[in-house]
Amino acid sequence: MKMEVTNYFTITFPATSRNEAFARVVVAAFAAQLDPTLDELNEIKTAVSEAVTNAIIHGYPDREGEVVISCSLHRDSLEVIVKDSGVGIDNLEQAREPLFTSRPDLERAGMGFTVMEEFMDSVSIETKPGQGTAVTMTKKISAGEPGGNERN
Amino acid sequence: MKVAKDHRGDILIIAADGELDHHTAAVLKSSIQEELDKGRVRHIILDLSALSFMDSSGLGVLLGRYKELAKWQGKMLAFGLQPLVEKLFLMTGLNKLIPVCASLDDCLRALGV
Ligand SMILES: Nc1ncnc2c1ncn2[C@@H]1O[C@H](COP(=O)(O)OP(=O)(O)OP(=O)(O)O)[C@@H](O)[C@H]1O
Ligand SMILES: [Mg+2]
Repeated sequence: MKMEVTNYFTITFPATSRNEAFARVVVAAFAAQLDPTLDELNEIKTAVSEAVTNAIIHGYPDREGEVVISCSLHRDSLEVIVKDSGVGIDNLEQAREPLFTSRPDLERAGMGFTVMEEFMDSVSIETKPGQGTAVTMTKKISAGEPGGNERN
Repeated sequence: MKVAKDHRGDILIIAADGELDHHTAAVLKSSIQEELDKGRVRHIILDLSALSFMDSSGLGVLLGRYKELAKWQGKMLAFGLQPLVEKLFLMTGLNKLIPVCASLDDCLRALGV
């Protein structure tokens, strides 16, 4: 069943590392409406940081580009989509494996997707070589919507 | 990201203050590497008490310096981790390479000081 959307926003920004902190703070500020715990907020920030960093480093290895973040609230859960229009991922199964990195030369640990999966409830990736990558993550917030609908 | 350095004999003590991500990783990397290049550092102790954020970019930088130290069997230890950073250490197994101690004194003791 598709859950009702209660609030949403979309932002577009240039794919530069300077925007990583900005991106995770914006999503955390939006998620604050669900009254999450500090731990939950930190987990959301970390997962967003991973996806945005991937878009910047891997999505656009040698050109400028844009990252789009779309966020929505569905009663007691948050959905975040981090999208780039970069190179895409050839072998998605391999990319999701812990410790796999295509850029050991940049001292990457290959743990980004593992961190996202650990900190969020679901992570799904849509990618097309040459067209880009969209990472959709959801997280249920334990406190639920303050003063909102009853949960069942 | 602010990085403060201190020395105890051949031990380099690094205090990282702020948020460690891909954008700020270069600052931490270059300030540690600068000391390693002088050739007088054997071990490193990380004071992470003022580190309020870290993601896998931070893991990469720490692992990179850990590998440098391993060339001469140097050790890297950490203390003062905030809950999020500790979670990341445990989740990724980084604590097996960079053990987490309760305090600076514990780190120093573990290095036989
Ligand atoms: N947005 C993206 N565009 C293109 N390739 C990507 C993208 N995101 C991830 N990848 C590919 O998936 C691999 C695994 O990503 P993951 O985040 O798990 O590790 P990493 O970024 O290499 O290292 P770390 O996140 O630990 O710094 C990357 O090395 C890269 O090849
Ligand atoms: Mg990554």
